[in-house]
Amino acid sequence: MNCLIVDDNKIARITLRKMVSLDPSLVLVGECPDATDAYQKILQQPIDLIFLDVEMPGMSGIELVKSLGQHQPLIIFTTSKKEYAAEAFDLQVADYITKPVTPVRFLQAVEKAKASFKKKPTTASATASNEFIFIRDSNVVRRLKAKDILFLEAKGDYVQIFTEEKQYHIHATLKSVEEKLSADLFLRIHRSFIINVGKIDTLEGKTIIIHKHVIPVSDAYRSLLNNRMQIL
Amino acid sequence: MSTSYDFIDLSYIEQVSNGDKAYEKEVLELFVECMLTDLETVKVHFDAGDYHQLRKTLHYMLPNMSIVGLDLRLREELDALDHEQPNTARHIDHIDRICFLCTKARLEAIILLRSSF
Repeated sequence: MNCLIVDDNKIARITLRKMVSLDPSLVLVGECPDATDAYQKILQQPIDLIFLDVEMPGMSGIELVKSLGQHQPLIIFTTSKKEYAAEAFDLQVADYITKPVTPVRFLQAVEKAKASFKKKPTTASATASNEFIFIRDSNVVRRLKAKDILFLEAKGDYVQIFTEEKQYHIHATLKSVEEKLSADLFLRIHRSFIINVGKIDTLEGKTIIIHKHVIPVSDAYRSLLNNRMQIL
Repeated sequence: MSTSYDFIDLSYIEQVSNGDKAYEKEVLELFVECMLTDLETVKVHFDAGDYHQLRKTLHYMLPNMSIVGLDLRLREELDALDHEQPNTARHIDHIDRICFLCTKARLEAIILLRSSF
């Protein structure tokens, strides 16, 4: 399994590197001091497992996982605090271990990740299954092509889906919809907005325009957006 | 390296290293280097009265503390920092003790590096 260590603390990275060497099935392909660097690496090369710190300057480990969508490799959170455990497990991570990480606990977490790895569908099939989504529109269940969606906005208990022709309201949380969308096409850029990156017309300051709709970009997601846009 | 010390506990490093002296040396050198910078940062935030940044710095220091067992010795103080009112005598006492033990542990690690590697 190709694995990546993401931690802003150098001692933690060295210690995790030492522990990775305990299991010959793990191939360490990189170490990152922050989540933005990790995000780029994950898009550039196949990574099966990430040992991920939670609290880091800029983007947190939890924000990184949320931004990955279908690109999400298996995650083992490594953190000094237990308080993020519930949120972490909501993200369906393989395990959550607190520092200082002992070799025994580390290997237990790796075994859990390996078991999940065997069950995980391939990226290709996961992407293919997300080329469209089904939504409940009044009394019918409607198929929406993902490529036709401009962006989605959270509005209380509803999510508003914008296409060029029409807007749909569905009773759902933005998070639950996000999980069903392909991260190849979509990106969260704000607590209340997910956009289809390919539909962006312009980006100016803290706003983007998609089909005459003005959408805010929050600071926390700005670097992710820049990375995805690959601005020349 | 199994000698006992007053401020640092090497059992975790030895458990991870499994006899790899290069790892032990690298980690201890980093501990010495990082702790110096981190303690200076704590002092800057303390002097500025910025308790939010001070807490963040102490959180960042936790993995470094835990590598030499300081997290266990300072558990009460570290736990208290997350809950107690900043800028009280008790809060300042806790920060003082954390800084005192970290400073002593750092000095002990320097002596260990000079004598054992």
